[in-house]
Amino acid sequence: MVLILFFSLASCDNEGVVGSELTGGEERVETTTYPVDNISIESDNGFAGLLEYSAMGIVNDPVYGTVTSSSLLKPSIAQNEIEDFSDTFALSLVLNFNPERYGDTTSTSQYNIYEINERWRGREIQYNDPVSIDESTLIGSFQVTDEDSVSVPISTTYTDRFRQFFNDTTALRDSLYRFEFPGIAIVPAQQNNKIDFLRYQESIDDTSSTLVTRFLVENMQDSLIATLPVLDHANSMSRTNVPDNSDGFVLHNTMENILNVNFDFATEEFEGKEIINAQLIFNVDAGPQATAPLRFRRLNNEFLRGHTFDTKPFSLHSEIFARQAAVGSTLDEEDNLYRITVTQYIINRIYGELETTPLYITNQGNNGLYVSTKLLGTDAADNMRPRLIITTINPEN
Amino acid sequence: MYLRALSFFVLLILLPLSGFSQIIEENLSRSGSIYSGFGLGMPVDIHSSNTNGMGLSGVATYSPFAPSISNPAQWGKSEFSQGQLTLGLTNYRTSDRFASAQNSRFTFESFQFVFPLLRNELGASISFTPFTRADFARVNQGVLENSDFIAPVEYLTTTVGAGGINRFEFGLGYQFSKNISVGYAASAYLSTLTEELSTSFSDLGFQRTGQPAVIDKEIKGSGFGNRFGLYTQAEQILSSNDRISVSATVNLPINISAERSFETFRVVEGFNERVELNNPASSTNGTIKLPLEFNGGVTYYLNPFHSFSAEYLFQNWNEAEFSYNLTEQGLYKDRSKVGVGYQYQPFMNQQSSGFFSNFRYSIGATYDDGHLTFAGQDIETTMLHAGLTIPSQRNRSSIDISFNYGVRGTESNSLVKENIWGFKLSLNLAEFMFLQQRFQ
Repeated sequence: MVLILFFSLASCDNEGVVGSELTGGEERVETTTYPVDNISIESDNGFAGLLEYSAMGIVNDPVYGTVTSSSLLKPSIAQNEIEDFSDTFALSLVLNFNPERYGDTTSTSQYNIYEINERWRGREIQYNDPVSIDESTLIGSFQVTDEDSVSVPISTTYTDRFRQFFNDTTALRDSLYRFEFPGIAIVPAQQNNKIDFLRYQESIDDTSSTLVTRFLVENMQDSLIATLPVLDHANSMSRTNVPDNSDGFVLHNTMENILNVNFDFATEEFEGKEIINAQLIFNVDAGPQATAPLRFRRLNNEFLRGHTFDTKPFSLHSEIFARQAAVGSTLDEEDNLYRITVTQYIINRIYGELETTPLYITNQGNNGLYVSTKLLGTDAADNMRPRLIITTINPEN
Repeated sequence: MYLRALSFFVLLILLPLSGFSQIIEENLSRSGSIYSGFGLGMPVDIHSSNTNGMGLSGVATYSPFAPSISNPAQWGKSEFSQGQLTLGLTNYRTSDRFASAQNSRFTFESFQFVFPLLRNELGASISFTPFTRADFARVNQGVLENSDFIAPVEYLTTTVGAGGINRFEFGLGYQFSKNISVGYAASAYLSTLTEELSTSFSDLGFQRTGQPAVIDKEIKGSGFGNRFGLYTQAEQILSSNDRISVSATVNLPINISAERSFETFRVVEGFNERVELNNPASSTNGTIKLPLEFNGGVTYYLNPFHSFSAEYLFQNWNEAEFSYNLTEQGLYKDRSKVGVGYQYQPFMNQQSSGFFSNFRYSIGATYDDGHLTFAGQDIETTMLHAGLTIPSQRNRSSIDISFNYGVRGTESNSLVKENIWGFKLSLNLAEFMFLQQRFQ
């Protein structure tokens, strides 16, 4: 009975926090900031085809250079809606635009449509690898200011050529079309000063319908006969006259620049400690935004991504494009900086046995929009330069 | 007879095991004195079960109904094989300037087996006792301020400590004459001090697995000790049936070679592994030095029924070492403890009758100036004690029950005051185990 009393009383514990002043000197948690100096830029070019958007236009960006972009596309010859492309049918192109534009958003742009002069495939084409365009024969032309969509009649000459491929009944119909019919390019006029983005991705949300760029087949009375989706599309883009940006790190979501970040701190410093958080901080250079010309708009960069690989990939942009980012950060608009949590990467680097590989930093995903950002470089002030903040627990304290 | 002997051996084997498990097991709900979180833990005063009721060690108080654990010299006076097990329950109501809390802990106090090699001349003892005990939960909070953080990150560090230093002791006591006995005990000290350090953050980004980071700290080590005891007595001092005993023990300093480890679970390259956190700048090997201890006492027996005792304990904590934390070592100070007690034993009177004449009654008071000092403020403990012994009518077995209540520390100077009450239960078994039965 006495033992029962023992255990029943012993179970009546009531924990509380007493004596915090008695041991207030403990500083078990420590935070240390390390400058990150070992950053280099790897030049590459991302895929420019079959993305969610396709850019067209010219923009002279005082920070990021002159971007010239033609949109390449090719109508489908799928016979889902019509089996025969009649002589009385006409072809028109309906362009649906992303509401956000890059450059002087109040200006009106002139575009001409020409036939492409070489074979191309959307899956293979990359930025800064322009295709040849036959500008001798105009297929169509139009102007765009801030419209949501524009319909452009396609010339009868081009329509007749298309009809031949569409109505081909041989077994080689699809192959011949792919190889012999190169499609069209929407080429900006030289005086343009903005870039418009054609939309190709339909709405993910089932409750709303977002129209995408497509071809229409109409009869002589302008009645719609069929809709032909775009079979293949891409960008023929080049960036020139890039100013010197060596005071910082410029990132384009076209993956023309990829940051190669290495950490040089001594791993011995962390022996006996437990790393619980590591944040890589990049401050955004506010200069490009502050010095932008009047009415000049850029697409906002909202996040940075970090990729790691066991060994350096043969094609860096391909691997980054295909793989999910290991780490990432959204822009803190108030502080105008990115905080990338790299705790596990740092732990692997310090305590792991595998060969250390860099952390590759890119900005937003390559989706066809042109999004650039400039980060402050290693010569910036200590509280603005790239830095790594590591929080550790030191159990000896 | 065989059944009794078997029960005795089972008790001998099983009860220490239960004690081990109690000490080694990490039970987060346990919590003892918050002052046990400094250095080696709180020193544990081991009392003979028959003097627990006075709060005295019993260094000068001999009882044939219970083995003495405090003075090796008394083992030579053994007539029976005796075993004792003491369990305790202690409740701490702690408070500081801001909060209060209440904790209880159930403890294994001691186990001892004493057997005569030569009756009333040479006896041996095997015992297991805690020497220090750490059993605490400590919480601290802080804020990480960094201009690059979204907001200041608050954190809470919790330290849950357990374990202590335990003593396995074997010794001999020899009775030169009825009035003088000496004893010696050699002991092995085993240190197992564990702490679970967990840190939780207001920003979940600082908790890698969504759980607070937990680091296990352990200090393990061993050392050897020597204890000497002297027991003297004289009779017919002031009257024809009075008696006085003056006794003392000395426990020499003990050096424990210890090894410290920090361990945690960490995910590295996809594998969750348990890793050691050892800072090469600070050695894992350390020194723990337990202090010299002197314990002296005098017991005056007015007659066989009334006795008065006084004791003085000194521990030289100024010379104690805890190399793993010199700050905490710096809190040590020499410790002195004094106590007085009185016992009334009506059951010794064969002519007495009535229910209340079947017991021994004890009462006592102790003052301990403590082994810790914070900014000049000693952590003192004042205790009142009372006890009841239930002797067996048929042999020299007994049960001792004792209670104590006291106050440790103060709320001033940012310290913690502890109101302590405790309850101890000792089972003392005596048996002619190794004597041949002459009569059936």
